[in-house]
Amino acid sequence: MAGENLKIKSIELKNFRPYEDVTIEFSQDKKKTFTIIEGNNSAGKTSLINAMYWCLYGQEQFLNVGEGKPIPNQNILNGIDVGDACESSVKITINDDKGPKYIISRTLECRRINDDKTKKQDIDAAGQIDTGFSTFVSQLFKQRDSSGNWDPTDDPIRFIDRVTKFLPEKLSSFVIFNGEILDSFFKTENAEKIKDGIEKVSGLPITEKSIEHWETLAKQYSRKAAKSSGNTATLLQDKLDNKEKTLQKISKEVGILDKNMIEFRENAKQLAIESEKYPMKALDLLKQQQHDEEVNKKQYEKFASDQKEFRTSYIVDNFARILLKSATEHTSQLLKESEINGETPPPVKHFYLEDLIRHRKCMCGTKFDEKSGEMEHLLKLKEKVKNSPLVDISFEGKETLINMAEKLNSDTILEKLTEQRAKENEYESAFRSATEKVNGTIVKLKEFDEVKIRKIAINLEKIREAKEITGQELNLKSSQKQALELEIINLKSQVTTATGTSDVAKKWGMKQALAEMAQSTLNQVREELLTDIREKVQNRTEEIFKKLITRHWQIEKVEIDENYKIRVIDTEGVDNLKTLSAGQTLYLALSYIAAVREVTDTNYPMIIDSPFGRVSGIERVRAAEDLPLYLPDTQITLLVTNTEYNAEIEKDLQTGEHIASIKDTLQKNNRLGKEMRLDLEKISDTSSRTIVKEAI
Amino acid sequence: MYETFKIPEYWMDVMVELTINPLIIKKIKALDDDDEFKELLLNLLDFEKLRNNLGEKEYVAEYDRRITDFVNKHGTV
Repeated sequence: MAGENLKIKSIELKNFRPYEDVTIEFSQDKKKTFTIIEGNNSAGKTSLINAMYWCLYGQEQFLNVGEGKPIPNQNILNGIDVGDACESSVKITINDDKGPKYIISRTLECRRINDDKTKKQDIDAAGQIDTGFSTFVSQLFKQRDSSGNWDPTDDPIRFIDRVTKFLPEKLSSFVIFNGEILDSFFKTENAEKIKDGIEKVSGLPITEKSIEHWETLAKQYSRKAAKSSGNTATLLQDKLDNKEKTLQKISKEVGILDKNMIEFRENAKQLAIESEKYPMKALDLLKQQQHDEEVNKKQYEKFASDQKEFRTSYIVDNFARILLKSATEHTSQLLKESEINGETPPPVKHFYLEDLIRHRKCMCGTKFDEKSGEMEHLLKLKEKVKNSPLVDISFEGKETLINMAEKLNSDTILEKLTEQRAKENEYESAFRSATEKVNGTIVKLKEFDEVKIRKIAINLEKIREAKEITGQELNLKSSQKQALELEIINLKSQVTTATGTSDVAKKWGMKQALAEMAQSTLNQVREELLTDIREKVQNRTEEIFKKLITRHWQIEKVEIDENYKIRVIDTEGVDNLKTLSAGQTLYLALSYIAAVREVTDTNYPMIIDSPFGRVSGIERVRAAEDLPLYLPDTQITLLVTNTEYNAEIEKDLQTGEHIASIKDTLQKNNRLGKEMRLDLEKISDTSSRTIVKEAI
Repeated sequence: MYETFKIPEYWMDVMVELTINPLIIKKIKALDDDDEFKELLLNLLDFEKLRNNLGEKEYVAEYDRRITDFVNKHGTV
């Protein structure tokens, strides 16, 4: 098989699920390597893949497709009389560079042996058929030998062996696969998948079997040497065997714990990165800030409101006075003038005037004579004041006016009002600022997905706890393992001593030494080879992946470590594997598959169902353009829906340029070899058939 | 020095190339060990290709036979 370049020439389907009698031809062109099989959902695309799996391995790959319906068409089965039979068959013809190389076919015969119409689940028919049917499966594998003759076999065992030689089932997932599930290819248990893939293509089963046999022989020789040397050696050997069994058990447990620890570490690391992006502390801080600012907001709102109330009442208190200011001044003026004019008595009390008269003293303090004019004036004034009610009123009015004038200092009032207003503004401003801060934190909190953050934090906590417990258990088991290993070394030495140096014992010992050395040598070679292949797959995966994805400059390298863990390291050294988009993950899987295929050294065709179901935009086109470059001369068959294939893809968000459809891209690059369309045609209310129309 | 195990014509057909990587053969050949030892390893790998058709007893017996021959002839490695 090594170095072969294989292409599917045709698939013939007869009475297989929706196919009545159809032959599909595939592109054989070395440049136009693409065969497109387009069809809507349920048109028969997945049935075609199932037909290939059934033909090769005797069972369908994608289960649930039949939903309990058998492989043969129900309408045809219903028309079979007792004694008659119907056949369902799939024939695949594979070409190499010289023409047809393999013709593989499988046929299911359903023969009606009685009229029993009750249903039974039939393994051969892969669904429910009448109990009155018996089924029989036959197969044929023809291969062209070196002289160009056909060498057929219908023997079931030889058929399986030939299929295994042609395409081992373990490799089939790298040849025929569903694109829709590739986007989750590396999301879980990626180390197992990578390890599985690399080991599958490493060609090691025979070497491993040989290692096992060498080990068995080494143990047998050790036992025989002991047995030939008497009871003590035999007892010690039995003890050694038991210890080795226990060691095997503990090693297995350590292996599982170790694997779990790697997973826990990886998950904890991933969650720690996630929690850095969505930190719990920042969330709590933000919530505290929001709370504090809410308190401030309420406080400032109250201060501003109190201040406003105080200012309002101050204005109310002083407003009337301010308005009456000119009136008061005018009244004072009038009062003064009326006093000067003698129209109103001065605002003095008669006892005051009596006092002045008695002491012959003027209001200004000057002394005067009893007969002077001043005395006369004071006496007259005294009479006037004594008999006038206006005096009291005038006195009181004057007092009031003086008081009012004193209080009516508008500058002071204005100053106070300005001061109050400033304070009020200050509180209002602080209130607005607190409101803005609260709103800001609300917006920020919306950006924080609190449920997600708490979930990450809880998961991280759980993983750390599990890691801690597993770590302790691992330490314990590892110590036990170490102790056992020492004990075994010691026991081996005791067995050797007890075995003695008889010729028989010596001979067994020599054989044992040879077997142990062979086992160790093969193990070492095996490890070296796995390392070589892992590195080769890693480098090719990186090369192809970087070419396929649009933002390749952000990816520094793809790494597959000694534990087969795949990492996609960006330019900042962070593993991006779990945050890749659906499209990127699909291309990583495709790159890995392409790299693994290269290791097999056989150029198998590649058949992908729904390749672009989860990919949008320019990445689809990039795959159609670049995949052939990395799978040179590889026949690629895509089973696509109309939307996947024909739809003109939206504008590129970065360049604004219109992106062509997959069909246009393949045609433009001269890659489209064959194109056909599957249509489902209704036959009756309960059945339909697939019609194949070839476009190119 | 040992003959490659004679594989019957019928069983040539069922040899599974993908279960033995040719690089293993290259790596064994490149080892510093004695040629006889390397040949023993390679011959037994060839023999393993028949794994579908022999039981464990037959395998162990064949290994034992070849190891015994080897030890008889060379002592040990």
